[in-house]
Amino acid sequence: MIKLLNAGFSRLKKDKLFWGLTIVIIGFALLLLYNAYSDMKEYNSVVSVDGYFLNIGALIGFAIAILSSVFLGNEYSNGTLRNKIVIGHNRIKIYLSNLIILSIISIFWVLLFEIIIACIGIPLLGNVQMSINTFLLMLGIILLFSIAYVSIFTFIAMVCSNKTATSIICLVIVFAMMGASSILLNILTTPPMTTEYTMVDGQPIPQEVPNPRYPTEQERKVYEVILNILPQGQAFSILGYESNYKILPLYSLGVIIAFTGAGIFIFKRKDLK
Amino acid sequence: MEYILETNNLEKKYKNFKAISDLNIHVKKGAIYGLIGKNGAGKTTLIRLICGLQNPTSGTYSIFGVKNTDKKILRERERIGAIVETPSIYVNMSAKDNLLEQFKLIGLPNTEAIDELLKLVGLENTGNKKAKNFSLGMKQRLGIAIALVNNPDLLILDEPINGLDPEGIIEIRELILKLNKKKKITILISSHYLDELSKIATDYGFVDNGGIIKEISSEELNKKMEHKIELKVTDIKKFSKYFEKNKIIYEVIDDNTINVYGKINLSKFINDLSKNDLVADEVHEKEETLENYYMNLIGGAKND
Repeated sequence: MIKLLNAGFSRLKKDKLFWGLTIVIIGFALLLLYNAYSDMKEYNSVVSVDGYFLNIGALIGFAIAILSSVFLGNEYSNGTLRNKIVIGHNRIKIYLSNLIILSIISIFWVLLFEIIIACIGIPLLGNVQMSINTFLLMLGIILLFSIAYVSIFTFIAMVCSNKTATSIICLVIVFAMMGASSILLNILTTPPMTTEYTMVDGQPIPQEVPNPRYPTEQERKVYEVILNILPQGQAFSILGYESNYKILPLYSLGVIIAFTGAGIFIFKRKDLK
Repeated sequence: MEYILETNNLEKKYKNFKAISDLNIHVKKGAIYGLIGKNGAGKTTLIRLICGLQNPTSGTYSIFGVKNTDKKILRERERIGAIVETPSIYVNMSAKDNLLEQFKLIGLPNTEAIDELLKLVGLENTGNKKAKNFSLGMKQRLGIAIALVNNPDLLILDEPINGLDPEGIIEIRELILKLNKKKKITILISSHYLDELSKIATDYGFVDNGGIIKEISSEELNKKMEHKIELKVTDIKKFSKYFEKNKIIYEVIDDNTINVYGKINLSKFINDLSKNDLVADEVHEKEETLENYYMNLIGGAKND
């Protein structure tokens, strides 16, 4: 396993895409802070740096999807996966080493983003309201849903032998998760009551009535579970939806175990060309 | 006889299609074993199975005496180098970086041998040029260099000269001979370029319809290819009996055709036959080639 990890990291160091995505993440953090600082100056308002720590969730899924599909897809398209198997590397170890490499990269990107926000954002914007415990919980949630993303994309890239198909599927999944998470959040944040206007003597009279779009208790539970399972759902949740955040890491662990288990099961039996 | 590689009724099915069926090969230590067969005969499938890229549906194979069902097989694989179909190289890396990557995969800390390997395959002057800009021959040679990083005892080359120009073919041929003679590496090489194989192989395995229809050493084959007399006869049993009694090398091709091999004086031969009441309807003197031998074999297999 150490040999596989060593070879993987050595390849990653020379990978232009990895460095390109790292620059994009640095740029994204700086852009967020610049916009916040500009708004603060222009409107003379107070902006809290807290929310910016959590914004990596908007980008990390895309970054991992792109890197996983290309980094692992190249193993199939170049045929270099064969080199590992021919010389006797175990398939389970090959799968796990890829998962570990990409997980470490995702952790590196998240921490890099947080360090930039902390080192530049706190002196620039100030106004830190989040406690250290809450910050650590949020950081844990972000790291785990990032690894959950890695486990999903590693599964796709190791099971599908076609690099182009892998790239398309991974990106479609990120978009689909974003869309689904937005819809679910929309439903879950629907107010229970809505205002209806009735005309009395030609005058509109507002009246509070139960919102027909408000989900039932059972529906609510189902939507919340789906939102918690989706890594992107967790990324959106921590940005504003009131939820029991402490259980989110458990959902991520469930996703990681399920996809890695299924991926290893399939990859072990897969006929390679 | 010590076999580096052996298969025992190996079978590989893809849904309802049998790519390989009851296949048995025996590769001796130090041999250059030429696997001959047309496209789709099952050569690449066999190589994929041996390399561990696919699992057999039934049957077994042994590498260095260890069966594929034994967990120790992974250890034995460390003694194999292979190119399956196309060279497995990172196209965005230089030749040196590709080899460095393989060194790390194998866990070799000392990378001094990289320059030696590049020299061996004639890629020592490629510098930082990326592999995607290499010619097909250069890629093939880089693939061989990668396969040699672990100093293998068995080198498996699947169609290594496909698509190469004449110069590239000569380079690969010389490299294979050098590896076999100087480094004592046993080589399993598949190809449908019969002429090329006949220049290097010490043993042949003829593959058709997913099975080995004949295994023969080059020595034996050369004897057969030296000279051949084709006889068209009506009583094939009578002729066979006579040839066996007189220790004449022969082969029954079909119900009416029998081939006699070796340096034979034709007029004396016909005379001897007639003295024994053996009259052939037609007699043709022929020079056999590997191609003819292969075609006869495949034709024969089809007639069976």
